[in-house]
Amino acid sequence: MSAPAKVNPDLARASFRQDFDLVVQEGLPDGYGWILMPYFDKLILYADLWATDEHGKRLDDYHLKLDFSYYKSWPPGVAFVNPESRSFDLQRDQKWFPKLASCPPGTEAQFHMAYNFSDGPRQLVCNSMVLEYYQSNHNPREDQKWNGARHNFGTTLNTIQLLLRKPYYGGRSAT
Amino acid sequence: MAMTNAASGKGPENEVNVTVLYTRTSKSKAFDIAKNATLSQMFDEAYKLLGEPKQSNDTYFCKNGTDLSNVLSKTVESVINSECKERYFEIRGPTGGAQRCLRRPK
Repeated sequence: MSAPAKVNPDLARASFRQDFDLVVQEGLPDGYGWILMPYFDKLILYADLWATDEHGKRLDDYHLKLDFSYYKSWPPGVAFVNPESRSFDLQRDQKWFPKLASCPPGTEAQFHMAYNFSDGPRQLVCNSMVLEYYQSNHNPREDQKWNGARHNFGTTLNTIQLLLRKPYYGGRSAT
Repeated sequence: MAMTNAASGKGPENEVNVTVLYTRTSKSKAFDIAKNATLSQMFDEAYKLLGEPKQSNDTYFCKNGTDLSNVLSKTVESVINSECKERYFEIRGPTGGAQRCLRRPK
């Protein structure tokens, strides 16, 4: 597969706005308990979501930073962040990074806190609905690939949300 | 979110309103379905209303993450009284990732 390239910022912003409106109109933030904070000018979305048990009881809070610089030729970049600094320090912020115990049927994924990319180690949410998956030489089957005409960042959040549910969710990486 | 009445041949007292989200597109449909319909029939109705084709690699969940793929012959009523009290369901397409994660939870 070709390496992901950034999209014209105006086009990326228009897609971001359009899909943000769709996701809100469909009631996904209310239905799943997400708090979404879009920064359209910066092509950034902060998303707060909860890990839950099998009955939907909230267990742990997590905070994502989504980067829409490659959207929507490619999925959003995804990183778990410290909610106060809105960044991730590998030494201090491990509590804000989840572990995966297993995967749901039909969904392959893994959470890497420090994956070795060509430009150095950083997070990898290893799933085909996430940009970094394509920046790390992964090759999905045709039916697993991101399709910008069909998928949107709601698909990305919904995939991560499922992984943050027991029995798939494995707890915080550190306490 | 569009509200549609599915033809079920039953009176309103024998129907229940459900919502099905198609995660590939983040679009959903809410509709009435007979309580004694099977989950398989309910998802077939959702495909029709969403205008999406049923695909062999689709998987089915409750909003709370419960996997329904092996219980599609259960009735809607039995599932909303147990696993899916919120009456909110998901049709998911496949996504790729680390192969080691292919194993199913015990």
